[in-house]
Amino acid sequence: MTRLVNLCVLAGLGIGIGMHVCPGEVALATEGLSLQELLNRIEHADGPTERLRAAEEIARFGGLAVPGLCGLLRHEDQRVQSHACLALIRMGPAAERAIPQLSRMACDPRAWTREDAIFALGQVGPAANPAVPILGGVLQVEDRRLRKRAIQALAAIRTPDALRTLAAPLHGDDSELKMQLLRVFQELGPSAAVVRPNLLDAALTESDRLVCDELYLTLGTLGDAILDDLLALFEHSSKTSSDAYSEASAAVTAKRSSIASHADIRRRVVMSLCRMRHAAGMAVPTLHRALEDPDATVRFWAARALCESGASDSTTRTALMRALTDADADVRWGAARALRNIEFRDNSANSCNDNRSALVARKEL
Amino acid sequence: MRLGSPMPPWTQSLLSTVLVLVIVSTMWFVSQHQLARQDMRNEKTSASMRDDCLETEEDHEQDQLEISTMPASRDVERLLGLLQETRGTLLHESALGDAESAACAAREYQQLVYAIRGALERLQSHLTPDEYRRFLTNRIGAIVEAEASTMELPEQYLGIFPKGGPP
Repeated sequence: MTRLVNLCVLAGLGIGIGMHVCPGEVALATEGLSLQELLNRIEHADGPTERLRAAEEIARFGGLAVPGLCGLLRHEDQRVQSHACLALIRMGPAAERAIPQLSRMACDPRAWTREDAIFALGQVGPAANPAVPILGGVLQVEDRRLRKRAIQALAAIRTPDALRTLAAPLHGDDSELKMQLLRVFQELGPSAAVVRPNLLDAALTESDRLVCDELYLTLGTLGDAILDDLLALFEHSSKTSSDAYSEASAAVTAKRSSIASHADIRRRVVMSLCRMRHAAGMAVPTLHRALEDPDATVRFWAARALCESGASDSTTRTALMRALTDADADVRWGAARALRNIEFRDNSANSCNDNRSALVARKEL
Repeated sequence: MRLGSPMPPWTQSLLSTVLVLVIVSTMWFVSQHQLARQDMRNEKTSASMRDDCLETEEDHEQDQLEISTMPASRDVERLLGLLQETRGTLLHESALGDAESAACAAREYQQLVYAIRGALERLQSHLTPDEYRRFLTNRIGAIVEAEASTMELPEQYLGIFPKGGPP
């Protein structure tokens, strides 16, 4: 009798621990449905709600459910395929073993199948790197929805290969696609630094004004990695002699000079530094020189960039004070705004210090 | 019960049951607490996301306010005001049937359209593409933008000039 009671006690303890460790699986067990039964339910369910619940519950099994789901991906009924795909999407990185099957589906002629498979590949994350060439191919299709899904998936995979594939269309002619891609890179920020050469090259050869501006702004989001390139570009475009671009390749030089004037390049570089905000701290001396630029727009952007950089040293103040007498009204406006912000920051810092000092004094008392 | 003597079986069972109940209820309480904390964390995340959105909107509004004080932006708005006035004059003169005055107003109108184009271009080079788009949306509006980009003055439409262009 005692043994029986002890056995019951141990069983209770086991169930308790089980509930604590994996409550989901116990919940499934309470419903009395095994993985196979859930897979069957996706295949033979009466309605979409039942299928949806089954897919969601299958996702909890993780990698264990992948072989079964891969079988359902080959099913002739598109509803079954779609719900199997949904389970893989919910599974995320655990669906890694389904990558070959999902890659095949991403080449399917039916748009909805492709869309689901592309989405699932994105959810797998970096492990879906082998599917990158297929997703790169989808970037070339006409269907905007599919293209958007492929962009999202590549951004989610985020491996160097995926990011380079994402950067490839920047050399094409589709401005809308380029803008879409640039927004993605801007969101990725410094983690997209691997595409720095692609973005720089595209920025130097882009003919569309808006796209070119956006390219430079995107460069500004890459952080410190791009600073040296931007400063070098500014130096090159500041030279007025005929051998200004002697260090660059002849082809790029020819393209560059035909597309954007030197002043335009300088304006965009300073705009890029402005986007970098505090990361552009190392570029402050260059921005001081840009405040003396012959082009008024470059001077205006230099004042804006100094305002954003948070620089408040005496040289910056003097340079901005000098800019208050600039011939261009916008430059004067920019300089005044920058000086006002510096003053505001100083006052805030002083009041913080005052509070701290008061606190210390009170403690000492 | 003497000290050191074995416990009776029913006491052992009772103690074991109590022990299990205590362990299970503690685990249940902890898991519930974890779920509650998770919910709270989710709530906090969504709240902070909402706050971020609000902050971004506020930042944009502040930026737009500052941009509206920029000389390049004030210039655009001044020219747009003049354009509206000239447009009124143009319509008035053409309604009166005075061809010479109407032609004069039309020329002035066209010059203003060119000036607005130049001012917009200048403003565009002082703003990021996003800021410029927001400026157009907020301050000028799609209709005026379309008007400024339509370089063909409606001379033919208004019947000011004979076919073949302005004199």
